[in-house]
Amino acid sequence: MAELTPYFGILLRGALVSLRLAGLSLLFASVIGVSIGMVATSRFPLARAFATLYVEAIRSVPLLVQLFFVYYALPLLANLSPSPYQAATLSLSVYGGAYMVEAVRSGIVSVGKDQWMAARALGIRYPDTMLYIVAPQALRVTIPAAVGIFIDMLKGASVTSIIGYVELMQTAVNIRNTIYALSPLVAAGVLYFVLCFSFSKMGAGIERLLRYESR
Amino acid sequence: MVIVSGAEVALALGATSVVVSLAFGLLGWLLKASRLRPFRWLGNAYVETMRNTPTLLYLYLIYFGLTQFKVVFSPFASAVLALGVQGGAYMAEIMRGAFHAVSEEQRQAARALALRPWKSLIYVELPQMLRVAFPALGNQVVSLVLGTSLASVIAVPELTYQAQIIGENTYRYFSVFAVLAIFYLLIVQAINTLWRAIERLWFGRWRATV
Repeated sequence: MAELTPYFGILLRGALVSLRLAGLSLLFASVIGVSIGMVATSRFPLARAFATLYVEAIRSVPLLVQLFFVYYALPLLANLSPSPYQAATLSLSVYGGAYMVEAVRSGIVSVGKDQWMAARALGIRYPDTMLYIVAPQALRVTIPAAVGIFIDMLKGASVTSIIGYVELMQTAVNIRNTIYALSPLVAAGVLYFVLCFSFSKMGAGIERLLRYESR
Repeated sequence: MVIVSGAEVALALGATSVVVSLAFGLLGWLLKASRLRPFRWLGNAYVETMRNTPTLLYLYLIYFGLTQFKVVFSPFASAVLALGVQGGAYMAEIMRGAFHAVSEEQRQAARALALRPWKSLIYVELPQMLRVAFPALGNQVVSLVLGTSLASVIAVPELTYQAQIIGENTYRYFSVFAVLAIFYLLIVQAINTLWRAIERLWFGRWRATV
């Protein structure tokens, strides 16, 4: 463990880099989730089919393969060459977005049809019904799910090390290659655990807070 | 075709990991359900640790890390162990959830019929647990199969690894990775379809109960 002391700072920085990547991707994923989630619950079959196609396709292909696609294949197709950071953010956002669509969709579905009918009876239009009546109730389901998705994205961020983005996992591997010891990997594991475990405890707390005691 | 042999390796890796993760899952569940506090603590520690750390960590720890203790696994064995140990935590949670979903009356009825606890587990609880847990098990199988792509980093010659090699040789990354994605898509959709068919076949006529 002693050999690791000079590297504590770098490891912590790696953890922050992972957090930033997962956080930024969560932001984009939320935008995707909300917009496509609304498409997924719309009354147009073709639009719903498109949303299902997106969700199924992303969830049936490993994140690593999606990363490779963005990093190696996209530059050949379109004339742009993303940096590892850009490729990582893009893939992780699109990947997390698919799961967010499901979280948003199940949130909207959890709000009963009677709410929609009551709003319609009051002459409230779709955007206002969605924003003021359905969304606040849907969030009770969506937010706890979103915390789980964020944790998956934080863990998934480790995969971006494979295309050469230096986040926590790659930092640990680099240190290991310098000092030839197991300890950097273990330390990275502890950092991942502390981060993910606190977020999941936080998620459980939010879930308790949002739960109805009685209806 | 190299990529087809990669698919075979990926499927073999996935299937082996499913079996190993079921074993770890059983162990984790039994520990968590134990009457002894230290065992329960150990079970919880195992499940929480695995669920809050990335798979890649275990691949590196087992493949690179253990060499310093003179323990050397082949890439395939390392990948099976890494995926199995981590998948086991999710399996343990699935088993725990399914056990609780089987109602207490079933256990009491089995006791009233003088079935010993282990007989009640095998003949009364496990069949019902399987039915409750079946969809979740399917999801876990899919996520293990998707996880096999990570084994490419320790040079297991599975789908992703083969595709990378082909890509490097031909420089036709777009078509190679598109084909790769389609392979995974087909495999996962095949598993999903198969799983739903088995579910209908085994549990369809009971669907009204529970």
